[in-house]
Amino acid sequence: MAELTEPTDLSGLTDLVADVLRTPAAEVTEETGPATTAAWTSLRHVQIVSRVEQTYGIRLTAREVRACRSVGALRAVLTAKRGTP
Amino acid sequence: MTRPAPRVVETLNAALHRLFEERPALHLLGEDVLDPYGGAFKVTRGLSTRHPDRVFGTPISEAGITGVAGGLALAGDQAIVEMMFGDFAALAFDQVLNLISKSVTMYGDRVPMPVVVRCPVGGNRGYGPTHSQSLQKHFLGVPNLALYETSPFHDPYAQLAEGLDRGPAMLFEDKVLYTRRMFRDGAVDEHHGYALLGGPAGWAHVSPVDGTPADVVLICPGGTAHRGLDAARLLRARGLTAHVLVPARLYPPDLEPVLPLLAGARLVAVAEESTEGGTWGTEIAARVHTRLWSHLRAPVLLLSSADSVVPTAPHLEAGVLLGAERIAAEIEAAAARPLPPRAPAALPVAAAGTDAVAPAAGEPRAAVPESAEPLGGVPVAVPKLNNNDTAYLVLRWLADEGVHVEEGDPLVEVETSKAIEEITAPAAGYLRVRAAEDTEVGVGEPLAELLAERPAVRAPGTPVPTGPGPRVTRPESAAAPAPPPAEGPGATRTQVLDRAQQGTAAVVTRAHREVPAAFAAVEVTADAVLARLRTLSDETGAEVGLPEAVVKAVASAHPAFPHLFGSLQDERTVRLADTVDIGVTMDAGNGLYIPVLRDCAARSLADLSDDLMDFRMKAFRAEFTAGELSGGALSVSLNTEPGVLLVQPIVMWPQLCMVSVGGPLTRLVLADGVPAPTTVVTLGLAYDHRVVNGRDAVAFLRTVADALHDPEQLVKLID
Repeated sequence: MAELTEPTDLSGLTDLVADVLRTPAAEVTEETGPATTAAWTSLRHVQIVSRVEQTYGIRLTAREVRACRSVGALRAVLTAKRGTP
Repeated sequence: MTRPAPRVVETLNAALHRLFEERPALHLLGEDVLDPYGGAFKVTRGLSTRHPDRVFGTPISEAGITGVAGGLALAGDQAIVEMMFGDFAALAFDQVLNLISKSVTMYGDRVPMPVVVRCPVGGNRGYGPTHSQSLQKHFLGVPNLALYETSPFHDPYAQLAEGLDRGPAMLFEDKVLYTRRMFRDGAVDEHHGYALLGGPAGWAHVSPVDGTPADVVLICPGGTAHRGLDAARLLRARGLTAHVLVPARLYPPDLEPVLPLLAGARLVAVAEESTEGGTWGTEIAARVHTRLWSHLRAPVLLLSSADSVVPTAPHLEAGVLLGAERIAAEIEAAAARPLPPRAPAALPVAAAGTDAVAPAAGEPRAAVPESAEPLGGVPVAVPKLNNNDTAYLVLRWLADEGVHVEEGDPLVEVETSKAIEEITAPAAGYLRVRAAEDTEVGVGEPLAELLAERPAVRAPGTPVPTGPGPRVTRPESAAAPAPPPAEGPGATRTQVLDRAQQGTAAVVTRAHREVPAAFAAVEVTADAVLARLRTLSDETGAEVGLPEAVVKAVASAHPAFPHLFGSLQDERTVRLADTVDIGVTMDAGNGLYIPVLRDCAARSLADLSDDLMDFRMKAFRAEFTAGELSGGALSVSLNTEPGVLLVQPIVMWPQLCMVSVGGPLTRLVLADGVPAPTTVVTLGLAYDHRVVNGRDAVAFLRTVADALHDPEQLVKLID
């Protein structure tokens, strides 16, 4: 498996989310999520998760996907996954 | 105004009048046939008035009058005999068998015997055991004797004229049919038309007007024709297309004009009112089996009345006689059984000197290329995986050619228009692949065979047989670019729809054709529900959104509006759903899917939310199974992107309704005279207007809206 350095790289994940949401990266914070951003729809949610899966070589369960309610939560899930061999 | 079509009894009466005008030697004998009575069923009305010297009212003496008819024929005249009730043709059997039919070929030269014995037959009138029978089967296979049956499609003049000219013959007339009207001009009902095959005394072929090929061909004599048509309508509502074949002549049957149709069907059934055993249907089945053995996918299904005396009491009689519901139910059950692969035999060839039978339209000539060896081991055929597709794409072989696999091992992935399905080994054996990756294989056709012994290794470079289907390439997206346009001016630019979009096209086209849909919409204030969902999400740590809440609100309306969650069984009956299973639209850019959330009324919002998220991921990855996409009682079209004002969906036949949800919109409203922002969502309902009227539709939407808006109901919905 590739070296997993990306999840700790704030700009990498932020850029990914900004790219899917089609918003400037500067507007994406750790709190950005469906509750704060109208553009974060259910479809975009899945697109973000899918991009994260592809970029970091992991696979999330439906429950984990549903728990990714913000950039911060997404990062937490990624970190937890990273700890898993 | 167009005059209604004549009744069958009027057409029979007109045929007799015409024959009497045309044939001065024709006589008619029968009990009570003289005017003013004109026969028990009024078939001979007016005939004795116009031709008093040739129409004879006789004593009750069926054997005697049939014998007289035979004598008239031997003396150069012609005769029609009316049995008041066909049951008493039993009394005339000796005259028919030993005098009239034998005389044709008993005197050295062929002697014409222009005699037709007319027999009113059948039950459903409460006439009891000796006045309700269908005796056709007892007259089968008598040398020189032809049997005809009145039908609402065939001119009885043609039947009687042919019967007299090739004589002798019998014409069986279903009593219930007398008062029914004839079909004319190729029209049956809104969905079905008919054509005559093999001339006016040949077959009536009833088929859907949209040209849908037959899953099932139902053969039935004229007396059972209406029951056959009703069964076809029931089957249509259950997703099976039935064509109906009605012969003018029962015996000797001429199957030649209908063989291509029978060869192409998934199932052939014969339905008749005669009681079980030694029936006309067994005669037809034996001939179909002989002619089409290599093409049949299942044994011919025989449907007849019970092995019983026909009772008088109507409820007991109905239990014995064959009815439409039983025809439909037995066909549905038989069609649901798995099919063996189509054998790679040549098409049936007619007798020497006649043309080979052409394959039915769209029918592959043979399941395996001519160069392929015959199947030797356990065949692995493509099962029917859904109701939309007739062929699937072989995606990937999961086991290598020549390896030994165990029963249940995964063999191959095939792609339907909606899902990827894994086919497992039906038995243990060495794998011989018959369909290469990236080829299309029709339902029931061979994918592979499992051999008892290790097969010889294919020579390097030997291609795997590719099956009958065209090799296809998969475009990357729904709007895959077409090949570069041809050189020169006027070249047409095209784009090819991908497989998923072609599947969607087929489904929505059928839905649009089948459902006369209307549409209503209401606006619902969504601030409270959105706020409550945010709180719930915070509490549970998992995102729960408006789609889940709308699905739950729709499910909560089920007890008050059960018929909106049904499907049309026939024109008068809605089949109600047992559980509230709701389809939800999903399009993540890889094609439109409508996976089904199960039992939405009983399950929690968080539970449904997990399923919904799972579906979204599957839509994104295009990895649904067929089971996840079937069985919805109603669907919800989710379009909750911001700015979506209103969505008018297509009702997904055979469902009756589709709810749509738009995106949240911010409105300024006056609250106590002060402008305040509020969030609204538009709820729409497309509904089948045959079942649901606007009043119901709006009441349903209001109920759903209240569940999302009213504080008390919201608590029940979400907590």
